[in-house]
Amino acid sequence: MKPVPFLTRGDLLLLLGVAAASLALFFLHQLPRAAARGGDGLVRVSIAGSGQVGEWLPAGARAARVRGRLGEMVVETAEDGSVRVVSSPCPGQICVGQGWTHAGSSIVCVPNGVVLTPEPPASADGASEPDGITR
Amino acid sequence: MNQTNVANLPQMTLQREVVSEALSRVVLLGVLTAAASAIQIAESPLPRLLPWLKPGLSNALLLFAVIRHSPGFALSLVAGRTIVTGMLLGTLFTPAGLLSLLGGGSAAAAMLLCRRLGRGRGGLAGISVAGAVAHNAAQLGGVAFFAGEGLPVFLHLSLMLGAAIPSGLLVAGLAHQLLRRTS
Repeated sequence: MKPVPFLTRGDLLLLLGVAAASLALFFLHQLPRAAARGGDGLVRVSIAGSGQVGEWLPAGARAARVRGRLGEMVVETAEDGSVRVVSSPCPGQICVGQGWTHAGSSIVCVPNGVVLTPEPPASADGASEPDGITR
Repeated sequence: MNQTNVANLPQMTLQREVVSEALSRVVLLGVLTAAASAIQIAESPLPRLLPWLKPGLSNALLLFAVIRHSPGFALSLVAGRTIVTGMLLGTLFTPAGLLSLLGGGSAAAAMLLCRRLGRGRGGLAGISVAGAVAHNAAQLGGVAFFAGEGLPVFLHLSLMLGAAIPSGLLVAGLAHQLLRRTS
């Protein structure tokens, strides 16, 4: 069998394409965020299967409780809007191990079906103001 | 030895060779499955910046199987690795186990497709990066399905595509050494 080369010109083109797609997607994500900056720094909570999408946690919450598919999750938010999971009923505890997560990323607990996304909510026209705040 | 047995000798030798070849393929599949599972389990407790961010070194064995063996062999390796790892980590039939199967199956399918389409033009690096991209994209799709709305898909896809390049090159490097040393 003819040996397969490690790197060819076709591979380089593929690598460049993947890198370009990665950068393009990052800018697509950043554009609406740049327009929305200037808010109070809250954390958006989404819970799969419950229809709860777009609930918000306030910044500086010591022990907010979020109910997911498996049970209650204790979440802490900082004044700058970053968030961490203090305890969770999920088996892997990956969400707890992730620690503090800042705006621009998110905590996803697949077994419990909870997504926590720190992001500044206010935009110039107020279109992304929170509908309600969970205390 | 009577005359009939002597006449049957070539056929018997051929049968023995076919059986021996099938047996060696099964043994190799078992060895690769065990090694891939061990690597995946060893990687699982490593600290990560993001939950999905890991080197995926067991895919070097998958790439080896894609290059050297049949599509069925490579897909059996993915299934075997997922079952063994799931049983030992306790993730079998959980969302994490299904995501692992989805990622591994997609990576194998992408590698096989790349191997077939890019015959003569594509190298190990391209096949491996395509596998890493498919693995990450399929797992992100699975997470979006399980977690519902609210996941910043563009951001995660962008980070996953970026991470696929170094991890794909690392896996290709390992597979290259493996192929070179066993040729």
